[in-house]
This record gives sequence, C-alpha cells and structure tokens, in this order.
Amino acid sequence: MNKRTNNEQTSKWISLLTSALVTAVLITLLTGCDDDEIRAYQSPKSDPYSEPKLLIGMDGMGGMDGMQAPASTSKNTIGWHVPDDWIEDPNASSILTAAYIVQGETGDARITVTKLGSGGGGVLANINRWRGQVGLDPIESIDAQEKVSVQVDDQTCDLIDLVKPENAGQTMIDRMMVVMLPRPQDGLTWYFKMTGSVDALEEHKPAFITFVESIKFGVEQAPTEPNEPASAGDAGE
Amino acid sequence: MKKVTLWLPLVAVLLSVFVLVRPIMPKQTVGAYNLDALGKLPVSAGGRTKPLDSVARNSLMIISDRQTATANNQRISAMRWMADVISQRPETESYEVFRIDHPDVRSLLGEVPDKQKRFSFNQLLMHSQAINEQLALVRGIDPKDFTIYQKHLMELADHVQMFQDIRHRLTPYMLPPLSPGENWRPLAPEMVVVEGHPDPSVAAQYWKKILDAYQQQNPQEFNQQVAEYTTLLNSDMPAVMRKAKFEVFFNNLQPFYQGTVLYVLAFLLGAIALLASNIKNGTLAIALRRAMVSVIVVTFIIHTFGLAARVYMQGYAPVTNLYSSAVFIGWFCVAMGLFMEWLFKNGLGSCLSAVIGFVTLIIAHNLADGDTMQMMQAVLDSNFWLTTHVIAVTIGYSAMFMAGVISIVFVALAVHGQCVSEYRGRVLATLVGASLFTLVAIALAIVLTLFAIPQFAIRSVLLLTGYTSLFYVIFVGAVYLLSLLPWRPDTSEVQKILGKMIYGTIAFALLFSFVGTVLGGIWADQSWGRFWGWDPKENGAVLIVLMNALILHARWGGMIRMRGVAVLAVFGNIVTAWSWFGTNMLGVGLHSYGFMDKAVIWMLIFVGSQLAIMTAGMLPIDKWKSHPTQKRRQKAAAEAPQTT
Amino acid sequence: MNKSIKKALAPIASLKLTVLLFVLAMILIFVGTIAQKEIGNWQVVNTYFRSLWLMMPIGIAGIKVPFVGGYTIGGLMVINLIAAHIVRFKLDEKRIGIILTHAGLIMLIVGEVLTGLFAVEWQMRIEEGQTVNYAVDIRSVELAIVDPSPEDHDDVVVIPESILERHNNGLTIHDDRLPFDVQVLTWMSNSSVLAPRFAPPDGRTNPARSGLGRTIQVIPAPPVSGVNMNGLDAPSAYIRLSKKGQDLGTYLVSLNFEFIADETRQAVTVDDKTYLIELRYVRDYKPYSITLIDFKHDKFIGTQIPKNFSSEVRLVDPTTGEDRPALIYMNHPLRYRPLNSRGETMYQSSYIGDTTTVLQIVRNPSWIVPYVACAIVSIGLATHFGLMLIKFVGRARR
Repeated sequence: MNKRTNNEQTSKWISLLTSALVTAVLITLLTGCDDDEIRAYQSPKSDPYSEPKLLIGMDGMGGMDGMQAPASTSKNTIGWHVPDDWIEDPNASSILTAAYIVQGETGDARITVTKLGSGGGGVLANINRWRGQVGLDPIESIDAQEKVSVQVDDQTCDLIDLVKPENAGQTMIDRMMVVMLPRPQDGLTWYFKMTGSVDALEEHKPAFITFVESIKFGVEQAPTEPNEPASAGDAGE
Repeated sequence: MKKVTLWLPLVAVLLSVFVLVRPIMPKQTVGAYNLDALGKLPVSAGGRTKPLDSVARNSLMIISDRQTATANNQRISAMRWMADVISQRPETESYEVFRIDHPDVRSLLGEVPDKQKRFSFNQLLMHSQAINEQLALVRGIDPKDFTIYQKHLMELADHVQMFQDIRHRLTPYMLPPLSPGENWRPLAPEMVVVEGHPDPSVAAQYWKKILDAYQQQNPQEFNQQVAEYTTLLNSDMPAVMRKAKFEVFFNNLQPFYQGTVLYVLAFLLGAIALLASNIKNGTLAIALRRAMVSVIVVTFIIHTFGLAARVYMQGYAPVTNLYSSAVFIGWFCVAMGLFMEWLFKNGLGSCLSAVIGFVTLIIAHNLADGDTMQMMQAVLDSNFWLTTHVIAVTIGYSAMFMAGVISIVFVALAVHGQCVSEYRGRVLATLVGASLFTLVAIALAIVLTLFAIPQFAIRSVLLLTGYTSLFYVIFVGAVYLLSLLPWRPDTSEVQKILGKMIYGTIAFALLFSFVGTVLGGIWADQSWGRFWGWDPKENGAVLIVLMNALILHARWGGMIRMRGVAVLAVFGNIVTAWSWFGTNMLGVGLHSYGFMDKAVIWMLIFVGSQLAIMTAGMLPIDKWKSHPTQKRRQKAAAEAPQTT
Repeated sequence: MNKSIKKALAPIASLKLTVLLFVLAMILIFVGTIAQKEIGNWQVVNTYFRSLWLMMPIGIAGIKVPFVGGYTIGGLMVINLIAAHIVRFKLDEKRIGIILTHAGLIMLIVGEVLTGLFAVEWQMRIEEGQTVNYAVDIRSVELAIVDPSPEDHDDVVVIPESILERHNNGLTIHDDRLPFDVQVLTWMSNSSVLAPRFAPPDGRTNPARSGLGRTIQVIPAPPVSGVNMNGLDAPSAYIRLSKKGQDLGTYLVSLNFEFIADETRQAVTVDDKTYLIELRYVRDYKPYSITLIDFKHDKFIGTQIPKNFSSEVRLVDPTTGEDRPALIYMNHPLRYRPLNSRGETMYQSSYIGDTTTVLQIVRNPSWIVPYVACAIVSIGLATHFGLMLIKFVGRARR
C-alpha cells in the first residue's frame, strides 16, 4: 500500500518536474537568440571581380519566382536598338520578352518579342496558325509561303508578311509581319512580330526591319543612350 | 404477402442493373461513319495518352459546358463534333458551342436573345473587332487581378484558341510514337507534307486518308481507313489500344452519372419505406428497406468500379485532385453508411449513404472541368507516403462529413420533437423572426450595394447572417411542415442510436485525420526535409484533428452531451469544407476573391446553412418533447397534484 | 499531501482548459492561414506559431487585438496534459491508448519547438558547371563588404538585415571592422525594378550616384504572400558610404541584381584599396563544395507540367578527402556529414530556368522526434478507438 503510494508520488513528481522543465526551456527559447550583430570573417577566395554589365533584353524578370525566374546566364543575352518613336508597352504580358507600341498616321502597330523553347509545334504549324489568324488558308509546305530575307546578327532569316485577303470576313488580326529566328545553340526560337492594320504595317515596315537588323546576340554592353535597349519593367510586381 | 420482401428488392436490383447497362448496349449505327471506332483511336493531350473520344468530350465540356454540341438546332455527339472539326468541315463554324455566361461579354456580340448561352464561331468572328479591342485592354494584367468580366473574357479567348488548335490539328497530339525514340507529336506539320515527302510517317498517312474521306463524305473509305489504322495500332501498341478502348467504355458507361441516378432511386425507396413504416403491417416497409439497401449495394459496386477504373487508366492513387477527392469522399461515406446499416439494420445508414453518395457525386460533377485525370507535377508524383497520406486524409474528411450529416438528421429529429410538443408556437415564432431577419439582411445588402460599400468583412458577415437566417427558415420550416403530417413516431430511441453513430464516427475521423496529417508530414520531410511547414493545406488538416479532439474532450469533460456533440459535429462540416475547399480559394487573387466568385459564394452558402442547423440544434433543450428529461418531467407533472 | 497537490492542480488539469486551448489553437491556426494571403509563410510562422503572443488582425478596418501565440498554447497544452495525468493518474488497460496518445502529443509539441529552435534550412543555387562552397538562407539578407586583397582568402564583414532595417531613413552604421561608414538612406524589404524608360512614380530623382544604381532604379513592393509558394522577397537599399566625412558615393544595393546584371558586386575604392559591396542572402560557408555536372528536367509531352527533375553533382571535401559523384532527385536526397559537424541532407527543391538547380540543405537534429511521436500517437489512438469499436460492434450486434 505504502509502496504504491510512493510509486505514484514519484511519478507525479517526475511529471511535475517535466512540466517545469518544458516551461523553462520554452521561456529560454523565446527570450534568447537573436543574432543581429555585425560579423567579420574570412571566406574562401571568390571569383575575380569584373565591372558589372546589365543583361539586357532578358526575358522573364517576373520577380524572384523560384520556379520561373530565368537563369542569369550570359549566353542567352540579346540586345537591340529601339526606334525612337516606339513606346514600351507597359501592359505587356509576362510571357513576352518585350512589347512596344508605335503610333503612326495610318494607325498603331504593336511589336512583340517572344522566346520559345524549340517545341512550339514546328515552323509550318506556326505559319499555318498565323495564316488562320488573318484569314488565309493553310499551306502544305513552307516553300509555298512568300517571304523576304533579312540579315540578323550574321544569320539570314525570313520575314513573313501575312495580309488578310479581300474576301475574308472579320478576322482576329488584319496583318502581321513575323521574323523567326532559330537559335539551335540555345535550343530556342525567337519570334519578332508586328501586328496592326494593313496600312499601319506598311508605314512601320522599314522601322521594323531596322529594328530586327539591330538585334545582336551575346552583347555585353548596352548600346548607349538614348537608344536604350528594352529591359522588362515588371520585376517583383 | 411475405414474398414481397423477396421480390421487391429483386425488382429494384434488376431495375438498377438495367439503368447501368442501357448506355453501353450496342446501338444501331446512327450515321454511315463509324465514329465509335474513330473515338477509340489513341491520341495524347495534357501529357496523357487517351482515346480521341475523351478529348472530344473534355474539350466540349470546357468550351460548351456539356458533352454534346448543337448543329442546326440538332444535338450531335461529341465525337461527331470532333470529326467535323478535325476534318475542317466548314459547317463547324456555325455550330453553337462557345458558352458565354457573363452578360457583359455576351453583349459584345450585339443584341442576342437572353436565353442564348452558346454561340458559333461565325458569330464571334462577326464581332471580333469588339472582342479584340476588349482583349487588348486585358492583355498584360496579371490573371490574379482579373475582374469577373475580364476572367470570362479571357476564358472565351482561351476557348477560341482551343477550338482553333484542334481545327488546325495542333492539339491533341495525334501521331503516336511508332518507332523507337519517337514521341507523340501533332498532326499539323506532317499532314501537309505527306504528299511528295520521301518518308512520311505511317500514322500521318492514315490520318490524312481518314480525314480526307470524312471531308469528301465518303463513309466507306473512311470506315475502311479507320479499321486499317486500328489494326495497325493494335499490332504495334496493343497495351495503349487496350487502355484507350477501356476508357471509351468507361466514358460510355458514365458510372458516376448512373450512380447519381441510382442514389436518388435508393433515397426515394427509403423515403417511401419511412412512410410505409406507419402502416400497421410492417412487411411492406421491410421490403422497401431491403430494396433500398440492394440498390445501394449495386450502386456502391459501380461506384467502386469507377474509382478502380480511374486508378487503372491514370496509374495514380485514387485521389489526385478535387474532383477525385469528391468521388472518393462519397465512396467512403457510402461504405460507412452500409457498415452502419449492417450494424443497426434500421435503414438509417442506407438513407445516409444515398444522400451523401448523391450530393458528393453532384459536387464532383461540378468540379469537373475538362480532363479529370490530369498528370501530376513531379513533386506530387506517385510515392508511398503521398498516396497513403492523401487516402488517409480523405477518409478523415469523409468521416467528418458523415458525422456532420448524421448530426443534421439528429437535429432535425430533435426539432421535430419540439414541433409536436406544446412549444410548437415558439418554433413558429423563431421562424417568423428568422424570416424577418432574412428580409432585413437582404434590404441591408441592397443598401450596401447602392452605396458601394466595399468592405469585404462587413459584406461577408451580412451575407453570412442572411444565409443563416434563410436556411434556418428553410430547415426548421421543412421540419415544421413534416410535423403537420399525422405521422408522429417516437424518435427518442432513434436519437440515441444516432448519438452513438456520431460519437463513433468522430472517433474514427480523429484517428484518420491525425494519421493522414502525420503521413503528410513524413512525405514532406522525405521530399524536402521539413516535417511541418504551417502551410495552408497542412493547417487545414490539423484544424480537423483539433475539431475532433475538441468535441471528444468536451464530451468527456461533461461540457456537452449528445446534443452538443451533434451541434459541434455540424460545425465540423464547416471546418472540413474549409480545409477541403477553402484553402484552395486562398490562392485566388484579391480582386476576383472579391464578391462574385462562385466558389466563395458557395462556401458562404454552405457555412450559412450549417450555422442555421446549429442554431436550430441549440434551441433550449428542456423544451424538447423527445428528450428523456422532458418526458420524465411531463410524467411527473401529470402525476403531481395541481397547485394553482 | 497527495490530496492537496491534486486540489492545487485541479484547475490546470481541467478538461475545460483543454477545450479552451483547442478553441484558441483553432482560431490561431485559422487566422494564421488567412494571414498567408498577405505576408510570407515564414513571417506567419514566426509571428503566429513560434511566438508567445501577437497582435492579431480581426479583418475589419485594420483593428488588431492581442492573442496568444503558438508557444503559449503549446506550452499550456503540455502543462494541462501532464497535470491531468497527475490528477487522474490510473494505469489500466482502458486508458493505455489515451496515455500513449498524450505522451506522443507532448513529444510532438516539444519536437516542433526543437525544430523551430535548432533546425536550419539553407539553399544552394548552382548553375551547370559551377562549383559552390556555401549555402544561403533565402529568408534573410546581409550587406557584405568584401576585401579581396589577401592572396588565399577574402576578408568579409557582413551587416545583417535587422541592423540595416533599424537604420532606415538616414541613420549611419559605424563599426571599427567596417572600412567605411554606411548610411542607410532607404531600406526596402521587397522591391521591384523600374524599367529604364519609366520615371519614378513620385517624380523623385534617382538617389544613386555611383555603381549599378545609376542605370537601375528600384521602387518598394508589397511583400510576397505565403500563398504564393515560390515567390521570394527581393530587398533593396540605397546607401551612402563615407569615410571620416569624405563622401564615397551613394549606391543602390539590391537582390534584384541577380536577375539583371552578370556581376552583383560593386566596387568601392577607399584610399586606393578596392572593396566589393553586395546585398546578398546570408551565407554559410561549407567545408565541402558541390559542383553541378548536369541538371535534367523533363516535362509531360505537350505540356508545361514538370515530370521530373534531377541534379547530377560532385561533392568534394578536402577535410575528409571525399570526392564523389551523386544524383539528387525527388525523394532521393544526398546525406553528408562534414568533419566535426552534424549531418546535412540535400534535397532537390526547385530549379531556375533550364540549367540552374536549387538544392535545399537541411540540418535538423530533432528530425526523428516527430516520427517517433506520431508513431506513438497513432498506436495510442488506434488502440483506444479500436477497443471502443470492438465493444461497440459487439453490443450493437447483440
């Protein structure tokens, strides 16, 4: 009888002690440790310093989104001159690398720059998709598409000009000009696209071609002002 | 006479089997084209290999919110629509398939009849300028910040894009990997180069012939090419073909849709049984109850088959998204109901099964948007801990809802008892009060809207109290009307059984929600070294555990009794709904979270209804005629000498 | 004696207190979940769950009321539990399940406290081909002033975020170890980059006169919410450096540089000596280094849904002489125990672009506690309710 009470008492005291201990630990934890002080230490040698360069025309910039943020590799850098009267489109969606709006006498045109992985459905499929958007019939082979050659950074590419046919009713887009620039070494294809009314595109065509021809890959230094290259503007928002 | 207990259930079973088998019975071919065979051809969409039939149904579901299309005032099947679209028949542009719900988006199409909800591609094209202007305004806005109008507008744009992609044969990927190293690819690029191409892919050649034959209205050629292509695939990729064929069978069977119908049938049988129990001769009631149980068993089997089929087709655990969790919760609740039926043999468990089975399948149906069998992200990929975690947590949800639903029945019976006592007048008074309050709430809501007071908190509190009083009127009113019937059973015995059921189910729910939560922790620890991160989903799970623990401890401490347990279990419904749905709503941006969001409204309605039932359950207990203490008191009062 | 203890303990052992604590815990967790719409998960955990008390918003007009924090509730739960078992101590078959459950629960609560105190989570971001010998704490930043002149090492002085924040609005940080004084003109706990062509919204002029800040401007941004699982804050600061009254220039330091410049450090020259300044995630240098050989990342065909991702790495530790390849992928972490240190586990956590892997490095000495605790609770619950069910079914079938 007596022994049992003893046992019971011992266990109670143990429990009490435990609870006291837990409380004590909790209190210490909560009051202690806040390492806010200046520290000095030696670290292993870091990479040699070089004057910082802006990675211009980089896509994405959608804040610091862990999954989506672009790699800060310099090999994908691209730069271009923006004609003076082009305005950066502040409402560009995040998948666009850059977007500009240009106003003219015959109407506005919108210029977009997109970078897609090598997938994207193939060249012909894309051409047919665009043809569908302006109300043209699909073509059976790429050769059937009329195109003009343009020189981009020592690379010859095709400029495709798609115009809505007379007899087509309402279409999503009246006219579009596209330059497709494959970069197999990066596994990417760049798309430079101008859309707008038939006349407006005629008016802005020379500027568009100048713009496309100003494109340079692997540029290290931004072209000097005032022709500042595009840098997306929505980081972190 | 006794035989009725045998043949009635038998008839019920035969009837349900007939309901099930009807959709898969071979039909006479409707048209000359063998579209069934075309539907069984495998394609790849959303990263999953599936029959074209599934793509047709899912795409129409997304674009049109139903599985059929309207062509020249005629209903056509999803596969007919698909065949017309991919063979680029011009008349598809006049099919009225694009569903537009938002009136302001609809008004972009000019004057259209109010009734018209679905529009043709041509109609959209005619107003493309207006639509494009509006789209240009939306472009660049973060989808999280969309208003409802913008959301609907973008949805329409997505649907048009989807239609165009299908028409241009960019999605689904129709060319299968027939030689090693190949992958699924779209048909479009190869379709046009087939002619003159030195080595066109075999599949592309067949597709070209099939689609050309369809376009040129040559059924014989079409059927022959489909058959030949099928034979080729059967020999080259038999496993894929087997699965595709099975999936088409599953699509036609629609086990969950049939399940919904049968659960209603079962519930009706149960309701009649309840009424029949009033008849002196109990044989009919027993026969009806048996019939109900047999129908539920048949439905449960088909429900189980549906779940198993999804596991087979998808290769994942049964619960992968909200849709499948609803199906699973329903399934498990039905299982629990049948177990209770086996325990108590009083028809209650089956009735609950029927109701919950029906409701959850309806919820699942509304959650379905396109393919309900999506591929899972790498982080969520099949893994032992994740699988067990999801199943355990979902079982926890199921048990919680089961306890909640039983509690609602409990409260209904209690209120019924009150309505047949001398206190019915007071019940009526609360009804009048609640009705008035509902009106006041509506008036206030109108005032708030007029003065454009945006305070989310104020408006949701107002809406919530409004819904609560409204549901109070509905719930108590319905019970009150029932009490007017001559049928006045003594429900105190039933209430006791219900009390036990609630208690047992809550204990079960505690066990499974705890184990499920823990398994989630283990999975997280295995995946990224953090056992517990206090993220919304984890918090939702632990809230359920706490709710269960709260109910049980309050009961053990004598703070509440049967009634209190029931009322708190109804609150448990709210907690469960929160962790099941609510935590998902958190991800929605602030603006669309605002007021019109459908999910938020449904959540508020649900919470309001549960609060109303809780209120009904908390009417003062000593006024309950059915309550034992009240009975004793009445008895004592009857025996005691009159004092005044 | 015995009775008096029981009497004294009775109030804190009461089930009413238990239920009250459950209610408080549910409110805390619910509000703590809602709060993640506005502020980051990590901040919520620290304010709500790993705290004694807090000011809790009630959702109307920004009113806040004091409320008990997670540590208080957890502590009281433990005390309540232990007291209850002292007062109602009885060891019999019927209660074995309950005792097990409660013992496990105490372990679980203590385990969470220990994790909060001693576990550390770091990240390593490595580009293909790159070798990294430090991990970063993505939850806090520091201003590093590096003297790269010594031959075999760098001399580093770091100013933690908390000090920078405290000196916001123009206060000056002076310390003998610093080569110059740092005046914090503006501190932004999250910021976004202003496109070059856009003028600042308030019409102010660019404060920065030196370094990268001349071409890049930033503006404050609201904190990234906890609901957005992948988002991270990008703090920035405008700082003016000076030595003995001599102005060394006004600089912009920002975590945003990582995404817009190839070199995130900026050079500051004082008395012909060049220092490198950089706002960066707090670093922890490791005795070992990790080289990313290859990062693989597959998507389901025709979709953007990631199917799997894996990092092929090489681990080199001169102190132990270890030099080995390893493959880190989902649910297959790399475990490593450096010399004179506790073991670390490296998980494949995420990725940036197509070639940069993000590894999560965790050191949690109490990781085993929740496993054991949960096993005990589960057994306890299963025992208790299992016995209950058997009894119940038995009675109902009779």
